[in-house]
Amino acid sequence: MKRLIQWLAILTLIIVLVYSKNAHKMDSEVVQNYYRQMIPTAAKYEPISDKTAKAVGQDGSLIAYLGVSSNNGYGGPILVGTIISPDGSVKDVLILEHKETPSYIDKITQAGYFRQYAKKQAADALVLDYDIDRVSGATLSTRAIAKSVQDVAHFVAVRELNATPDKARIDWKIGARDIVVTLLFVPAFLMYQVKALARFRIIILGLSVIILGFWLNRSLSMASIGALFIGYFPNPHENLIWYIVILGALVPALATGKNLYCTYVCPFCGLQELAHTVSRVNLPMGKHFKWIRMVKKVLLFVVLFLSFLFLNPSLFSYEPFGTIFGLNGSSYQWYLLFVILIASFFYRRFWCAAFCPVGTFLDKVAAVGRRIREIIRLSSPKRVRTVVVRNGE
Amino acid sequence: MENELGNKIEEEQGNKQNGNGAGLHIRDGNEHNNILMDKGTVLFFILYALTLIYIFLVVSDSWKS
Repeated sequence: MKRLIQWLAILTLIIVLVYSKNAHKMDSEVVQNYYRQMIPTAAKYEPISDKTAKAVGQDGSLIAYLGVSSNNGYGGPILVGTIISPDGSVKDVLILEHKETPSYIDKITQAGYFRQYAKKQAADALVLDYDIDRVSGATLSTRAIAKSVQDVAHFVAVRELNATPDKARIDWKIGARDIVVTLLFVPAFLMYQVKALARFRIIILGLSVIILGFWLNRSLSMASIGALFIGYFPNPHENLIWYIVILGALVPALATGKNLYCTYVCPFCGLQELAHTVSRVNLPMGKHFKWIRMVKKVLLFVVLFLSFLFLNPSLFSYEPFGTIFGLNGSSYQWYLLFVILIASFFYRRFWCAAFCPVGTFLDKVAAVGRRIREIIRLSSPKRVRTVVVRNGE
Repeated sequence: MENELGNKIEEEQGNKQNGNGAGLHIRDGNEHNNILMDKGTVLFFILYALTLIYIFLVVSDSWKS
């Protein structure tokens, strides 16, 4: 019965994902609606391609070129509308749809990110950290917006303005951050292999709180896991840490059959353990553990179901990781964080034990890993002990 | 948590709370443990319910915006 429910849940998630992928395709009518939002005064929009057009006025004169383009930010695709004046300057940049945490978009707007486009031409490179400045703390979102503006602007420059766009050569860089994050996963594997090293676990968790938490704010969240399933893969040139964290959590779980990320790496687990160590109070929750685990699985299913249905992995990702490590969140997120930290004083890893969908997901991956190991073990040829019987003995 | 460390600690805590080794004062020990368990349970339910409510509010807030 339990197994049947599990398979039904997986089947439901697959069906809802396939349905949503087909339902959310952008047709020409939807694109026309976006054009109307961008330049409402235009009499008609003459298509240049399926996502770019010329906005033409009542008298038949060209008002502007316009287009929409989408690139993946932190939580998923950000749909950006770009308007280019007939003289080739960038007239306006608008966010039409996004799946980011709203406070990040507010941060970008307040930082004056969009104002820097007023001085740009369509044929400029329009590359983040080259001729466009990033907004610190919202790098992935600003990078996605910059790429979307560049897509439309360069297309219009080549097709309509006969201009050759500038190229910014940015080499593949493996920076200190990528190396440090990779190194954070190595002790986890070593401690799993050599039990004597496990006493250093709290030190590694402490380092993770500093590095993966407060410094980089890149702990594994449901937004990343949802994005993985929906297919919102960031560019590895620009966001290598995303791949390091995802693979660093999933591959050891599959290979060893143990959820090493939660035990040894997760910065939020580290924070809770530190709070628990400080309090010196340890109340058990063993009595309630069975139904707590069940609720946790239901929460994981609901989060994945809604993320797949709306193709928006960050909207239903309720973890407070960004609130504490990015020091950025709504009032409710701060209240939630406060309750969890208070609870962690009394109960060891309260959030992990009772609510964390990431931990529940990784436990499931580890269970799949154990099953694979078992199948491999059973399918490998058995060693047969041979007994040599000599004549007369 | 279904990892090795988590399960082990839960098990140990459970044994301590169930009054193993209460000796001659079994009845008193159990009563004492029941009171402790009740306080722990009440606190746990308050924190659990509060967290669940805030999760709901966080998601609905994100949905509205």
